[in-house]
Amino acid sequence: MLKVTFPHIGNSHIPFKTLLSELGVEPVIPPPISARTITLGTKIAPEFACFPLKVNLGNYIEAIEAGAEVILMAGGVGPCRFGYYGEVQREILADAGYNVEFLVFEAPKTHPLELWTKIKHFFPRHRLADFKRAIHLAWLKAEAIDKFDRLVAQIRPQEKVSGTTSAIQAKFYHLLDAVDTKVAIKRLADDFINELQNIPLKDQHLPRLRIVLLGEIYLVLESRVNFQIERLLGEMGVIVERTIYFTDWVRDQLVLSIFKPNWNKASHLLAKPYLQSFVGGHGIETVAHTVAAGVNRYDGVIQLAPFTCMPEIVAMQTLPNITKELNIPVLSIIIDEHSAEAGVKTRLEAFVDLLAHRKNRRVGGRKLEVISGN
Amino acid sequence: MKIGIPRALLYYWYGHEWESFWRDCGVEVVVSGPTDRSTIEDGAKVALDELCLPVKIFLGHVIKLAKRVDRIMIPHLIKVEPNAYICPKFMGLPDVVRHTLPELVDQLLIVKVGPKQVDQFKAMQTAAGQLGIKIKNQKSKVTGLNPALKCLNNLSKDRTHHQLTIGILGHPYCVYDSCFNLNLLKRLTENNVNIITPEMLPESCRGIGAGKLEKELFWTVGRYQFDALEWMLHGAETQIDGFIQVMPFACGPEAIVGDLLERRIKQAGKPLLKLSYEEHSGEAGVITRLEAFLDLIRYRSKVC
Repeated sequence: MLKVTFPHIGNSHIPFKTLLSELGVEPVIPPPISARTITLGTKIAPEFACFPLKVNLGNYIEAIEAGAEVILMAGGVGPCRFGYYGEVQREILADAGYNVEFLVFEAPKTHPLELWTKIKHFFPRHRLADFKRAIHLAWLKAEAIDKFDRLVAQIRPQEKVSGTTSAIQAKFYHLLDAVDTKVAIKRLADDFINELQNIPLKDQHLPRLRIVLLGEIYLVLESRVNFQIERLLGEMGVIVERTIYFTDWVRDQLVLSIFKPNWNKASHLLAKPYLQSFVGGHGIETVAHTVAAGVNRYDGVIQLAPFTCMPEIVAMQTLPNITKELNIPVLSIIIDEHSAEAGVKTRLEAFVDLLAHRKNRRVGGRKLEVISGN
Repeated sequence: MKIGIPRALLYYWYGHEWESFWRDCGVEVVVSGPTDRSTIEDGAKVALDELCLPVKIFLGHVIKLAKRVDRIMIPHLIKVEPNAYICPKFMGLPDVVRHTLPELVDQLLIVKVGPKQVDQFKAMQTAAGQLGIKIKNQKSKVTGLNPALKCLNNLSKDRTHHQLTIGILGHPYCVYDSCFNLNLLKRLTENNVNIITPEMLPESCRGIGAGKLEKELFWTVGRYQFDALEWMLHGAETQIDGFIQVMPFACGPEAIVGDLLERRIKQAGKPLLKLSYEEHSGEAGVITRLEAFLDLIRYRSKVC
């Protein structure tokens, strides 16, 4: 059976694995992103390329070591560099001596049916019904993960015994990966959501900090690259509202955008006083969500961006003014291969302390539940 | 009325067109002077650290112009050709200016090119309309060379006999801004080097390099560099001994395009020197690297 791999992004490897095995190929999941992955990728990637490109390369190499023969990758039309990842990565891997084929999902340059021929060539099961079933199953899993994660962000800061939620989360991912029928997925998701809801909670009466997490999609979704920022914040007692979820992104940006050209009108309108032009990537969304966070009286915003990310830099330039006008504190964290957990953690703790102090004054001196450090 | 044009970014491609357009409108045009250290310092002071040096230089020019003119033209170049952007930072340029220099907001004159209307003349007409200037629907003939070629002409006067030919790759605002690249072009000519730049590319050769790419590139300046490289490597009139790549530190598109260009240069077996600049660049470092590179090429041509 053909061995196919793909780069990691968040927990999407669980639905992707289902998708590929349903289509009759053998999925090779790259080993979880580690220091080795990043070192391998950085060694052969261009120095100023954005961080996701480097981590992707590390994923490919480790997957090739595990026997992968074909790499699946998404494409794009710019202006963000992501659209050209596939092309550059192919050349880099070829020059580094790796013999592997690329299948990039995007509108072909010359012949409209080119992509379909390629897909037919790679996947043994390529009837429309096969695709329908595979995509449906994968989608159910992706949805279950996102629904679960949303609840986790709410429960984790309130758990009585630190680490309970994270343990259940890990178990859920593990079991979800193993099931392969619609009924089983649904039952598993229901069971675990039940379990989450029954976690013993601390005293509920204390107001908690609410922080919006936004920025570049890869860094927001990939917890192994962002130093598990959601978990760190959650364990400090902060409710984290992540603005990007994998299923939302696929539904809106990939599918809805084809049928409804102004699907993103709300974001454009929100961002307009600060950022009027489309700048690629998630630039507009970053600004729009920051504005929304200010209007909705969140306690703070954390922006994640890879070093040299162009759309996020333009967005970042506008954020100080939003902070000033809407009274919403923003912390921008830029991550690349040189970032270290201690540095990120220190900055998070300091930020959370400041926010807690600020909120204390606002709620009239009542002590807030914030656990900083250990 | 006086309109100011910042001598930065793609002024080096389109500056002569912009100037002649405003002159036709009967407006006095002031182009900011060549970049100097104070321009860079002014720009870097107001801008976010993460922005690239060319954008900081642009902001510096805007600050310099503010006192001298009534309106400052901000070219908002989203697309100058179909299916290709310039760079996200160009797309957000008016927003960057507005946020870094809020006191100048009323003075800005934004000329928006793209995303649908890629014709610069029409965009300029719209901008002129905002000022209450009506202009005939006919393009008058643009006179003169573009600022990039003017820079080259000034250099070629003191050319002597050449020993080496070096191809320079990079965005026009990196290659021709002598303060940005610390006098790179002048230093090369003084060392008896013949310079070939992308802007010398004959019009008939457009598309020869970028067309060979398996996926269409969506950055205009990147496409242009691929064409230039193809022409430099295989053109009959260019016999290149080595390449120098000039880029701003942490440039987004150049990280990708530059890497692909580098691989093609390597395949062709030509030497390459990569120079990246930021506002703290020291001249001594560039001189040393340049001397070493030229020495190596001379040595190589003797041995081979």
